[in-house]
Amino acid sequence: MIGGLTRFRSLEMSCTGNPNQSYSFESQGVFNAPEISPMALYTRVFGPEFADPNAGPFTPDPRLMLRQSVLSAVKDDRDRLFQRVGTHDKQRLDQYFTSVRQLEQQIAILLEGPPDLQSCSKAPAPGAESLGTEVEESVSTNRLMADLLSFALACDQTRVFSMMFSDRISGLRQAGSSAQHHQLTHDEPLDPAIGYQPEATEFVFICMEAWADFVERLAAVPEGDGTLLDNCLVFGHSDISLAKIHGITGIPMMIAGAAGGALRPGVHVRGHTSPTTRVGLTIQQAMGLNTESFGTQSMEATQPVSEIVA
Amino acid sequence: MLSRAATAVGASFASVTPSGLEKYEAAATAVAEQALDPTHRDDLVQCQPASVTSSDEGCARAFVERVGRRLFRRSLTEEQASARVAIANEAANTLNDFYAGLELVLTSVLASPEFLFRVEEAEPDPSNPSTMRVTSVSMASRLSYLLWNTTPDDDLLTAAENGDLVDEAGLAEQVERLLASPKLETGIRSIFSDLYDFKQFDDGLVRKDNALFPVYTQALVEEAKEQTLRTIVAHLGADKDYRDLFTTSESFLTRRLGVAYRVPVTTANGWEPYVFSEDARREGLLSHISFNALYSHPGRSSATLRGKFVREVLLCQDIPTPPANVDFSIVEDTIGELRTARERLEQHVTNDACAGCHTLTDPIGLALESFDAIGMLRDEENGVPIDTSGELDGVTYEDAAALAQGAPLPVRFGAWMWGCGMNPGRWNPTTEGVGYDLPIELQ
Repeated sequence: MIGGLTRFRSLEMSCTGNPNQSYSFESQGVFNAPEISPMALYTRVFGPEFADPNAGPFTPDPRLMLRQSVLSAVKDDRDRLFQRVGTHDKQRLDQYFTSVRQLEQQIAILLEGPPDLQSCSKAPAPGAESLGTEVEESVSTNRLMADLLSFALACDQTRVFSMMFSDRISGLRQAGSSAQHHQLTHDEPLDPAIGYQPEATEFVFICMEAWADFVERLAAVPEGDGTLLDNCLVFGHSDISLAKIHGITGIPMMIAGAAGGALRPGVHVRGHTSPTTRVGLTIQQAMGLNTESFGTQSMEATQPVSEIVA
Repeated sequence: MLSRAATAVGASFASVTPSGLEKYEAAATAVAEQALDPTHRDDLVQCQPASVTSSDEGCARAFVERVGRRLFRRSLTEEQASARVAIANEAANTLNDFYAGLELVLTSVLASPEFLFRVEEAEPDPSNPSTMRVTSVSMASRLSYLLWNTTPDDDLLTAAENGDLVDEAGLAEQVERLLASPKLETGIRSIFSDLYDFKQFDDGLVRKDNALFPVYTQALVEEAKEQTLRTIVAHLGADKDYRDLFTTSESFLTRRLGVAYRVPVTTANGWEPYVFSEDARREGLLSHISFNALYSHPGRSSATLRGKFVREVLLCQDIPTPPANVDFSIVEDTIGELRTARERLEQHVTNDACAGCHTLTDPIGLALESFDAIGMLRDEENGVPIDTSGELDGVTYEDAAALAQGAPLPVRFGAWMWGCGMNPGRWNPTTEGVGYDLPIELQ
């Protein structure tokens, strides 16, 4: 709904070097594969197809219109198949059809020419990349991708994005160490002097610094009277609270940006026993969706977090 | 149809996402450009256009019908062929390039759901009208993907379109031909690459710490994978029992692998057949570097991942996901370093919520602890001797070799093949999956 008007319905990114894990799902069990390489992300958004507003007069590529003919033939094939298959396969073909429509829309937007936005310019190519599970690699990938994303948002190439900093069951590790973040959360004893697991918690610190890197990059782009961040809503969270026990109560959740004025920044709210879905509901309403409730059963939320609603 | 996908990461549910299709179309375009560039086009186009700078309907139609049939695994309908000839003509005249027109045609075939999905059709069986049979044309794809892991060749398609594959003798003839073909090796390699999830090696996802494992290089990884596949192909090719793959000491090595296995390899370049000695502790596929490196972390081995693989994939059993909000109070007080995997995992087994799964996975995985995170042999971890003994389903063993000899590991391949292996995501020409179910009126 939010992504429907732009060249990319959404952009998925990951710093883990693993294309098989994502925060973005089409439906249960079907995820949208993330970009894991900053260079690949750059090529996809700012490659030859990108209409650069500073590159002189725009002439549409005739191949774009021919690609429309290709997609038309493909849709006819889909219609023929649709008549011949059962219910489950119809669902698959529906998904396929939606994807073809999205691609058609992408071509239509490309044919319109460069975005007419003051803050839009073509991103410079990203610097050298190194993909892997060492935490410093993730930190570096996060910076490179946040930078590219800020240009993509400024040019309205997409309005929806996700970034995975560490994979589920975090495989982050320090170079030269045999222990991964996840293993440390289970195996490392608490240091009684500080009250937490020092090595495991170091990864949490680095992760939070990376979140700050990401948000600051969006705040560095001027837009209107404020910044790009003022017009964004960036939601950051962990899938557990205390990793050692797979804790799912008291999960820290953060929102940066004011969503164009819909949210009040700088507020801390204790959730107490509220379901986490209240945050999801608040976000959907702040983004202009007409959503009354979110989640099911004990996780059903009908009240947004009013303390942060402007 | 079974949806469990122990062996089909990313393909457990057949679907084409928007970003997936966007990237797929770009890839199809690149393939089409390459296939029709000046150095390759004559292999694919069996006619010469009247002019390379404009349309040629006859040559375009011949291309559409021949290449379309191979990729759709059946003849195109008249509408499908005509629509594509029209694309070829429009594009050739717009771009002043006959072959650019064919590129777009080829892209339209590769991006079609008829290519991306494998659709099986059924029909009432005339000899027993109350039951259904797979149509002759659908059977061609079923055979060629199972045995060759690719589309049917021209002979098979012709037999299929003549109706030969719903006839027992005609079917047997084609099966014999496919089995006798050198392409059978491709099919065997594909089944076992999927079974062991070797795609993770190809995708560069099996990373190890350089400082801890300097022997581990991309070249070693590729040879380790190849070693296992060669072992399987040679074993099955010699008509030996599948189950003996888990105990055989016969394999193939390169000199580079010899360094990691710490055995002498005389051949300087390339492969040689190799039989591990009795005391080498290298018996069966579960002692291979490929398996042990894949089911490990970047810095250390993982008894849990290895045990989970054996349970889920080889034995076709379910392992539940880890529970939330575990009461770890028993182990909270642990002071002192846990030095071996057994010490670390025993902490889990003391807790009921964890023990449910870890008692399934760990006894198998702990027997393999003599193989480190890249599958090299070791006797100690952090200075403590490794205990590889255990019990599985009532059978006790001292180490991995005894586990493979005594435990019921290998006998379940049949169950895997039909229970886990024949999942719908497995049999498809792309990474996106395949659909199988019947129209309601035929069910």
